[in-house]
Amino acid sequence: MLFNSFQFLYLFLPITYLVFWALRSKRQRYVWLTLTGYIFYAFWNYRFCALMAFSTVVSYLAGRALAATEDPRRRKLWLVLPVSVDLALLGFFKYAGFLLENAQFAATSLGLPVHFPSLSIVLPIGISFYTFHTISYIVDAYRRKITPTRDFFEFSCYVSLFSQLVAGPIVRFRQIEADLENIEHSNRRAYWGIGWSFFAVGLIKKVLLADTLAAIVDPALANYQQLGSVAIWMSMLGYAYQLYFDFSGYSDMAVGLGYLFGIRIPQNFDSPYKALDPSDFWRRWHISLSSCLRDYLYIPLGGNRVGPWRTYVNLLLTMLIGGLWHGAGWTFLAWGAYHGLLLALYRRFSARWDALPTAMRRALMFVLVTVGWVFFRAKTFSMAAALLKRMWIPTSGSLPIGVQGLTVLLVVAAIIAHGLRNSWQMKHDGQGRTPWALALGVLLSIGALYGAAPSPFLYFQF
Amino acid sequence: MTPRSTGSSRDWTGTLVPLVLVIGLVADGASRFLSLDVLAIRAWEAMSRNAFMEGGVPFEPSKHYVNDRSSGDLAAATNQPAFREYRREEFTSDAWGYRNATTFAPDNPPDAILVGTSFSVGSGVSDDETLAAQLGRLTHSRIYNAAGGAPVPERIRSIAERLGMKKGTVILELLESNGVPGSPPPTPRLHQVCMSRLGTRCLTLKGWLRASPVKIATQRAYRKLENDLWLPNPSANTVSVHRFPEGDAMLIPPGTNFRCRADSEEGAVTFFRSLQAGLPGLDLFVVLVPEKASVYGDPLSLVAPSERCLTHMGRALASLSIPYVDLSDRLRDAARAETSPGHRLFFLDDTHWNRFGIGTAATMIALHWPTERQDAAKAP
Repeated sequence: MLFNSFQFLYLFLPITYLVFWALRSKRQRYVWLTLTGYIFYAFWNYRFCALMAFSTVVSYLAGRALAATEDPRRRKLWLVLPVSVDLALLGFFKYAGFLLENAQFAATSLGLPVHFPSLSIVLPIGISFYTFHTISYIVDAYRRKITPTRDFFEFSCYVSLFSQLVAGPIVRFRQIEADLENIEHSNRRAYWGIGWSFFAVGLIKKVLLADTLAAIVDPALANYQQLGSVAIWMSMLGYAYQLYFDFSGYSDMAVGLGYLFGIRIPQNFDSPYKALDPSDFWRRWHISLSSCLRDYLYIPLGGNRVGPWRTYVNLLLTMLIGGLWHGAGWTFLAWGAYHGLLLALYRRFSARWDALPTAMRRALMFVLVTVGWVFFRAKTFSMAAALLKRMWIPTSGSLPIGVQGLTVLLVVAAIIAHGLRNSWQMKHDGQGRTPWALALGVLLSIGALYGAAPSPFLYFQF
Repeated sequence: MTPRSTGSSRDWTGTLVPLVLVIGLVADGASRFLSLDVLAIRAWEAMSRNAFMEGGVPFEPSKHYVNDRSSGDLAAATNQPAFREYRREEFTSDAWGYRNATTFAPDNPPDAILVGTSFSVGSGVSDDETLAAQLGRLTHSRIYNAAGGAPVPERIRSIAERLGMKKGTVILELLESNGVPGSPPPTPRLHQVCMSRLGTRCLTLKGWLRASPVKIATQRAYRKLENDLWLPNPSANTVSVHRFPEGDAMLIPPGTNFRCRADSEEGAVTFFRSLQAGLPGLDLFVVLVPEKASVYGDPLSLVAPSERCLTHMGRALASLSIPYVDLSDRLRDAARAETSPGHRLFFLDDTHWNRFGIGTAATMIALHWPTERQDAAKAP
């Protein structure tokens, strides 16, 4: 079920909302949110509900065991065991096919008479997100940053909370622990307006901007061999904005939905295309993932406390894993390596970079990020190479179909992404012209949803 | 970061945004009580809204619909208004939801019942141009148009009984691309209950649930943007465009190579045998109709079908001694002979034949129709 679908807007959300606020006790509300999370998830594939339930039970038990023991060896065991189980599930469903395929390729290349089975495993939607939820919970419990909850349904409601279940943000338990603990005292009226405000901003971003851009960019990039340099640049800029409005739109909707249920979900995007340098970009883009990678990977690897060269290696390794998190493919790995390299280079030459004028740094950073999206978007290296070649070597070719619309959309998207305040900076007090603009935007979005079939969010595939 | 919010005065976002969503829902629901007639591109859409073809009521009963700017399904599918060929279309349904402009009473039963596809219904043409109407005029016979719905004996028998028809002919039209008719799915239990409780109001309810004028209008507005300038037209390649020497574009539906299943002849024998057995007292006469792509294969240089299902069906009918006529050769000859405007057999922008195509077919059917009808057709 998509947030931008009629069954969600007119059936799931009203029922979930009304029943939630009709229930009074903490336990009832936990159970209800858990149940609705599983129903929401079952709309894609009900069979994978069992997988999420298994992961939830394992992590909950590990949390209880960590709370019950002070013995360091046992604590380590209760850290390693459930994290291994979670990673094994993620590894099997997301990476097994990729690994076997590459192992077969390597064996064939070396002339080894080995035949690995060819697996076609269906990727459970959102597994990367809820696995990170459970892992962060266990690690934080191990580090004593949180007190593991005794209430199973509080934990299961945290894992399966529908607003953040399938495409994040990756919310850590400690970030919403207070709201979950006080869920029976939530003030429905206090968050009603701000919830709808965030939801409306997200819906408009997704439906009017991201989906409309996708309608032009997707067919254009499907025929990238016929496009000239200008068209490739336009398409890649379009894709850069599409990705941003799609994912940040989803995050805004998730935040808005969280507010409607009294849960404050943290910020996931902070105008990333206004970033001045690679470090700044990763403080602004998919904040919940980059902070997880920082806290659970980069810092444990030694971070920047281990000398310059080890720091560069740590940056590269962290971003490689970040790339791989997005998908089992060499292009994702290349995208991660590209950003790792950018971070390392910035670390090495930050003094020179920072001496450049602000506008130039901002513009250059956006170009660098857009170039990186080539690896993210390309299905193969040959496609990535062809796109990069045409971006940098002037080539004649056709323009994208719908070029008039794309030009207007690029201008509008650029103004919003580079010039205006983001959804967390704008006022959500429901005063002035903003509510009317949002209402008009929602009206147009509903029209667009009627006119064109709703499209899934890009980050669902991760 | 904490978002900027103050909870002092009235929060208009919390009022307006949900209100817009509710208004959208109410507008959608309310619009469903409106007629689709203004929005329909042709009669088929307007007439089949409050109907249930699988349930034996192919069109909204007792409705008369007129569209002065009716256009074809293929032009609509490909979303290219330039291909539209506007025409006037008048469509009248009887009390049972079949396309008949004249009344048939049990005391004066028809000579024949025409059963078949949208080609027999007469999609795109007016009431007096349908196959039943033209064939009736040619043969001086009264033909009840029962086209629309699966050719199953129970349905045909029940129509014959309603019409008081104890003897006569069942003209069954079969279309090339459909192949041998399979068993139709059983009428859903819910529909049966609904019809028994609510009668024709059940059809109105189904129409209300099925079609949203707001949605149709919005989709149409959105498709106007999909003009390859503002947005790409994703439907552009859903049909193929072929040009006559005169320059006119003929739209051809996808899937021009109608492959037959290996068992189609055997399946056809089984089907026709059971149909014939299920219609005691009535004569069966089968009309095999080629698709547009088959008819215009030569003039438009289309790839010829590798194997023709109609040949299989013809062989099956011959083996059972059931009279039939295969219209393929006659229509192909006519298409080859004359491609100029005014003589074409199919609409440029539609899957279906036009009144000339129907007229050619009717002449051919009249010549092959057994018994005294042949003589009537040959009479001056």
